[in-house]
Amino acid sequence: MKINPMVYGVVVVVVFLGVIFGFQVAGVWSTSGKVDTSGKSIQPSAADVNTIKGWMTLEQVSTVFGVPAPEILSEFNLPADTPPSTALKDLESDTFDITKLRTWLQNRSNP
Amino acid sequence: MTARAVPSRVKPRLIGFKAIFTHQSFRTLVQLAFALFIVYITAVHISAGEASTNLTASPEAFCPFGGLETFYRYIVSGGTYVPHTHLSNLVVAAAVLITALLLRSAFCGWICPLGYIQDLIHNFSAWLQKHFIPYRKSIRTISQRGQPTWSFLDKYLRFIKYGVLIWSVTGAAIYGVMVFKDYDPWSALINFAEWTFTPGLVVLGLTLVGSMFVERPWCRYACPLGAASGLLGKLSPVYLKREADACTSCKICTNVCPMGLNIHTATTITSVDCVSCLECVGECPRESALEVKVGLPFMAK
Repeated sequence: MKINPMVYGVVVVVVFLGVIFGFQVAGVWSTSGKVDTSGKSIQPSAADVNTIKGWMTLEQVSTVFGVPAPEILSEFNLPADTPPSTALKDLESDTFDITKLRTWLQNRSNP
Repeated sequence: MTARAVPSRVKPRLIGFKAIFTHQSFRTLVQLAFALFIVYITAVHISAGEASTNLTASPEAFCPFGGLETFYRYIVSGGTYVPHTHLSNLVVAAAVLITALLLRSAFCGWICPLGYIQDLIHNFSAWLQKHFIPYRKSIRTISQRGQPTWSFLDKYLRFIKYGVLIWSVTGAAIYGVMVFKDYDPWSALINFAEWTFTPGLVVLGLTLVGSMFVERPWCRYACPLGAASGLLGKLSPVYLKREADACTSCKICTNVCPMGLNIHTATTITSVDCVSCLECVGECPRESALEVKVGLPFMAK
């Protein structure tokens, strides 16, 4: 069966956006680590290292997990004068990323 | 003596609205709309700042490849993501893959903003060649001298994207981070405001400069999303059909193909590299020589 190229183009847009809108209507959509799918604010929890997100600051993680910020900086070879208000995602380097921090905190709490 | 097939008649010349609003101009509008959406999202996110109380989405949240990279972690960890990805990445990835399953790699040809940028640069290069003779002569000289080597390389360089796909997806699954991010030209482009030097910036530069000489170099050789989409598109019921009896083998279709496919010699065009832009269908001067068709996947077409 032959398809008109214009119809093909319209179907492409409808299918692509249709899938996205379908998920959104079903509540399966979130574009930020700051809120969950219901729009509720996500906060770090000492009970779960997976609640650590890139937007959180060094200070937040330090307070919630009870680890002094200088210890975190030293562990990952980060500059000692890093302001505590720095977002974790802005600290990413060869020696530091969120996954490494989660693993380290997990191992630290369960030696 | 057998009668030789007579090529079909020439397509009637379009006039008025029909001449302006073709599927090709519609495709350009769709590409422009998605590119402007990303520009808007990026501008809002940068102007609001990371510490803003107003929730703004990062352009990274709309990257479909992020969805492929985080998929394994999302499944095995029961709902967590590799850093820099969100639920939206998984949803957009699903939209790209479902589109591929139904309509081949149409995302690449109709929606992807990086593909659009490469199209724009190549069109600019074509415009320069038309209006500036020294530039045209330089491009022709480079093309003629490099043609034999490039034809050989082109065939093998196309396999790089499968390696990039395997490396980036398995790397994210094993290490829990986006190992491809620092090499990703799209990531380098949408994070330009951070002013950080990454290898991705070099890849972006090579892609943009390369687009002056080769159409869609990133899509042809290295795009892992295009590789995944192209492979899944093999299951699609949609394909392009060249009617040999109606075709004059004028090679216009092959010359306008942004992915450098030999369309004028094929019977059905089901290549994993086809981005379904339908430039070949639009430019074909003959009635019924090149058409979009729907059939059963894997059946004789």
